[in-house]
Amino acid sequence: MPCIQLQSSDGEIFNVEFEIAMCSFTIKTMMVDLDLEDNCEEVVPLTNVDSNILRKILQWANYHKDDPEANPEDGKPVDRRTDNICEWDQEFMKVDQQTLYGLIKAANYLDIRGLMALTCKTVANMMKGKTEEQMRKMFNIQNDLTPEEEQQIRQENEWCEEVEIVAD
Amino acid sequence: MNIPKMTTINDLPNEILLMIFQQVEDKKKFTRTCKRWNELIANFLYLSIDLSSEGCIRKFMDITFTRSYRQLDIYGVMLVRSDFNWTDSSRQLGSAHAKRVRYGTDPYVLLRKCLQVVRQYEGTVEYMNLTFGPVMDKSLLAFLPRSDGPSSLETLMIRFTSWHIMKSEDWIVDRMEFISEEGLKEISEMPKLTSLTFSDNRPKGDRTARRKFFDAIARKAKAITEISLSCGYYACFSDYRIIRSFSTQLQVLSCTVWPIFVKDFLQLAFPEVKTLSLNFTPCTTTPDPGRFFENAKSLVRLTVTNIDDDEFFRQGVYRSAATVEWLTITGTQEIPMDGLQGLIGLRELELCAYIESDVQNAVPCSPSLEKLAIDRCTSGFLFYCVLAESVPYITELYITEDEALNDECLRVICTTMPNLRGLKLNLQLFLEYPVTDVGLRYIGNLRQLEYLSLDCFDSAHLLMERSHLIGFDWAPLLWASEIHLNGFLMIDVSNILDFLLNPNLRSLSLERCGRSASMIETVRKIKQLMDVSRPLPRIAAIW
Repeated sequence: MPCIQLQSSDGEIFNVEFEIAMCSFTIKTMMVDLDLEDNCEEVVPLTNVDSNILRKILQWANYHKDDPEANPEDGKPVDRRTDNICEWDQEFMKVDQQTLYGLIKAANYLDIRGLMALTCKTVANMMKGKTEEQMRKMFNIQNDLTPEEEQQIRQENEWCEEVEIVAD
Repeated sequence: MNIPKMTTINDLPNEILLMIFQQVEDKKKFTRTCKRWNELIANFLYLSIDLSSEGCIRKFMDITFTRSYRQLDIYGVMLVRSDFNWTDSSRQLGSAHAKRVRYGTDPYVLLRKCLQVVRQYEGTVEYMNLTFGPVMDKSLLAFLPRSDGPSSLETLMIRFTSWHIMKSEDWIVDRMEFISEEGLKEISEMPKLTSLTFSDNRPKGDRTARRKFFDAIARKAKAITEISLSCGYYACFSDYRIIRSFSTQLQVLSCTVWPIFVKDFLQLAFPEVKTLSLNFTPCTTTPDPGRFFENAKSLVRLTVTNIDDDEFFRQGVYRSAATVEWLTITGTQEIPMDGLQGLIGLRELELCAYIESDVQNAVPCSPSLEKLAIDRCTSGFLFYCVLAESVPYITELYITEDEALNDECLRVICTTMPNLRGLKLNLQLFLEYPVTDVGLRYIGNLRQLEYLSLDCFDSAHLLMERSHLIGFDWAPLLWASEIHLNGFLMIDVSNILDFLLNPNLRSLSLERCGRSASMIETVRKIKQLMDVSRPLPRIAAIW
């Protein structure tokens, strides 16, 4: 099985099967552009991803390597459901917030769409049914709104509706 | 020692937070979490200003909007009544027009406020939907963008709603004139405007205002590909002019054709139009369509309403609209069907009528048709007994408004059209010869059936009186995997179980079925039972 070497930001080198590394569009494009496909010697540095996060990501990618590839251009509406997370993924997502945000950033940087959807849904699920006060507490957010601003938002919200899907 | 700061959610970049918010339902309340969230979540909100009650109007006069929005809806049907008591805050707004406001009864103030909002957002708003009462006519042009730069508007919808329920004395309508002729020059370019809807169902309106509005659009917007116009009062030549301005680039057009321009209209060429909907109701005679349909080379969906001239179809639509795949015809007279075979790519046909229409004897004949919808009265058995032969490849049949549909018709449909995969029927029990059990039993013959929808609309009283006509012993015989029932008040638990006996069933939806809301509870219990993976207990019933 052909492999590729990925180096995390803290210098650890991971030997990864091509097939698994390909879940990342960023790596895929890089390999095609640099014509690395037959070259296992090259080390690809991932300066934005530390070894803990990279290990988690590879674990996820290994489990999902046989998933059918979703085509982002097939015109399907955005998947708004957050209750369709499989059991393995739910278990996988039981991490602290620090790791979760690390995974989101890395998934975004590496352009791994399945993982991006999973992590976003997980955060969205954490928000479900919360009040704004619970929200601040859970996510450790400083309330920088003055009482007047809060009052303004409350009033303005009465005239707002949520759009279904945001066009780009 | 250098302790790295904990990452929190607000360390994520905007693009990622937006992706997360996209997944969150009911996120409006989270705008109150912090400043950044307020700004980000505003991307998912649109301004929807409903001024249909005087309480709303009072609140609206006091509010200032601070966030940025891309969509703006104003529903101002009520506007204000002449006895509306303006609050002090609203008077301030109108202070520049103190003379008008002195009487405390001037809707001008409200219009100004609406306009202020439109002005505030004309740089950002892409989608604007305005619904108004009569007072708006003369000030219509004021709602077009007039900022310095080009406008970002992509969709503009203007609707006037009928006013007949209110007395005109209740409204002050004659003093509205915001725009002088010179003001027209101020209207900015609308390079992104692609869709214009203008719908006016009042019995009377100001045609001059309408003309000026359309002319201004035609001058300032060049990218329009969708136009939808309707009008409840007589003859607007300006409708024709705006359609003509964009005729070569339009992809979607829906309009009423008036006698004053019907001839000219049929001379236009619409080479790009894909969806075309023409209403000829005001025209008593219809000129020869000539090469009109021949020139519409991209046409896929065509809707024609109220043409009383058979030749229009024989010589026009059927002969030259060769690319049409979806065709809808509405008419009070019988719709001619000879020549329909000319439409070689036709896949869906819908025949509609208003109430009080002639019986449809002519049977559509098409070797390519896949779906037929009948929303009008036919000659019943005579119509349906030849249908299988004349549309041999249809897989979907929807019959919704045919009073002649009876058991015999259903028998002939179900025995001669074994390829049906979708069937939708609207049962009308009040008829002298309604569809009953006897006919419904034949649906069991349709082995290819995947989708079945049965609607039963009538007064509850009458339904119960005639409920003996419909039992459900045919339910286990069905082959459909998806079944939808609507309005069957007489249905009970054992009937539902009858449906569940159909081994193919994957989805059963019941709308307004059963005599009370307890049906929902019953269905919940049945589902609970089906979830249990143990063998059913021994059940004995003794009576």
